[in-house]
Amino acid sequence: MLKEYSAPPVEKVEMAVYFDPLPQLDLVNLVKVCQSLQKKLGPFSIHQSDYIPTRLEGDGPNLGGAHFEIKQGAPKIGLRLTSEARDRTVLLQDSRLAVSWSRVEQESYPRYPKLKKCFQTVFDAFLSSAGLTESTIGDFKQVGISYVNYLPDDDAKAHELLNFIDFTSFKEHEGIAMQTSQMLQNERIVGRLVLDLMSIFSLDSEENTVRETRKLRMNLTFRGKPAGPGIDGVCNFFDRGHEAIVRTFSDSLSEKGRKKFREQKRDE
Amino acid sequence: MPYDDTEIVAEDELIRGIPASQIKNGRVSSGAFKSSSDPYRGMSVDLASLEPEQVYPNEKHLGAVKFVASCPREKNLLVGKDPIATNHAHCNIWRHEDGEAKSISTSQARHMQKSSEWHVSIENVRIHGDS
Amino acid sequence: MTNKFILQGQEASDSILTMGERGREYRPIAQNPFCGDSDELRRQLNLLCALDNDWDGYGSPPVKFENAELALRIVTNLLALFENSRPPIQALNPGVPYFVPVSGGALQIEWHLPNSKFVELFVDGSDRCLASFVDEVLDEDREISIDCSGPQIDLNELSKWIVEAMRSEGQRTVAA
Repeated sequence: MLKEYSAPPVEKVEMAVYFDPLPQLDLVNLVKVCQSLQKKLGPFSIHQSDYIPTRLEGDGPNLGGAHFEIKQGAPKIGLRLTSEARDRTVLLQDSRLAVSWSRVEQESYPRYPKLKKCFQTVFDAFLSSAGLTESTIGDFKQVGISYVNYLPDDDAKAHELLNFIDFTSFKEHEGIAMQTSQMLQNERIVGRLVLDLMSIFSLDSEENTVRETRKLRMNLTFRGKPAGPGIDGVCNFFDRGHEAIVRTFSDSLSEKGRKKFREQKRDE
Repeated sequence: MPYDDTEIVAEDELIRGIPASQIKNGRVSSGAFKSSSDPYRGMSVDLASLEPEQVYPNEKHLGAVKFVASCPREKNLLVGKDPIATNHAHCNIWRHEDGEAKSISTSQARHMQKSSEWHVSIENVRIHGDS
Repeated sequence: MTNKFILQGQEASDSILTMGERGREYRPIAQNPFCGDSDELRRQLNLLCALDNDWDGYGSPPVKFENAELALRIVTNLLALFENSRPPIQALNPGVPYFVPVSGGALQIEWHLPNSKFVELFVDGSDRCLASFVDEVLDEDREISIDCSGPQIDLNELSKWIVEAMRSEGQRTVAA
């Protein structure tokens, strides 16, 4: 049973699918697709995104137990739809669709089922806007789900919310930067779960001004190739990823962390 | 050594050449009215009354601005002749406070910038917001 | 306050795709401006370090490498501050500034912000650099000195100035 948190530190959730580049999604057509999506989704504004490097982990040769091949694609131009409240964005490229939610102020995290449903809604709207079908897209090369958590770190003690960092000999530590990953598999490789921790500074709104605050950013990302075909395969992959991410988050918390984020049993 | 030259009177015009790299976004940067503080390095200008050889535009400068000597002095800056081999009209503007050389502040630089007018203008470039 | 929106005639009240208040034109948001900008910053700063001697016609050396390095650190830290923040503040990211070489090997960082507001940083090799906020419309300027000697640079005041100037642009747009 997955744990649930009534005050989770989630700042951003992104769900993305990668497919083979579609020639019909050149920049001119991407603009048309975005305009059509605007009509379907509501008042989203459209902006050209910077060139975005693509990092794919696909099925590759078995290299010393690593079943993933990491490819660095050429950076590609993309278009981004941003909601007026700025809490949701849709990124479109000729080989990628990414939908993300970001916390704007202190409103509550909409929870995974709603986010997944939102992705499906956007995906369907994207297919119809682009005149595509699931079969036109073909296999999804990679699917990813990512949770960005911000642990408040004004006193540089955010690591005490976690149970796997012991800074006994680094009482005055300046910051944290670490990454680890593991492959998850059952009868086959399912995907790679990556944990990324980084001390960062950000600006928080404070009445009419801002204040620089220190945080410990904890990214949990699950990516790989879905086992099943089509959007159902993608959604199953998201479910598996969400489960792995929540479980890892729960397993990472110290007693202090559980209290801080108000851990409770899921009502299911 | 920074000093204030009494022979340079308030109405004396000081000329500063403007290189292309100090023009940003269609205007002269306030950086053109500053200089590094090490060790006494002042802001170089030419004293117009000494008829400097420099002609604008030239290889280094797209144009030049001018302002009167009273302008830096109003902001407690020192103005003194500092002739060099290639330029007998060369002067410096220094910020010297509490016995040490300091960088010209933004407020001082802005004051000189706002008081400046074109000596030789540069097309489509403003010296400051109003010009 | 959020409003519902209609998804092809179907009310999407249970969707997270609810809209915020309308009436404001937002600035573009780039996917990863920090990454892209970082290359651009290096390119610009390298050009300044490679200026010819006497580039200013007054015998100045090119911009000193340590000044360019500090400028890169300040600007990347500042842009990261915006990038790491929530979307409303992220949208106020001022982007890549102008870099101006200053006689003697110093360097000035300039953000030309809306409504004739300017944020400038003067980097001249000392442990402290001078930061200033200029409002040409109100004919006001503020100046502070920032300690750059330690591993971390306090950019709080600087970011407040930028947010203040960028927000004033939003207010001006709405009023228009």
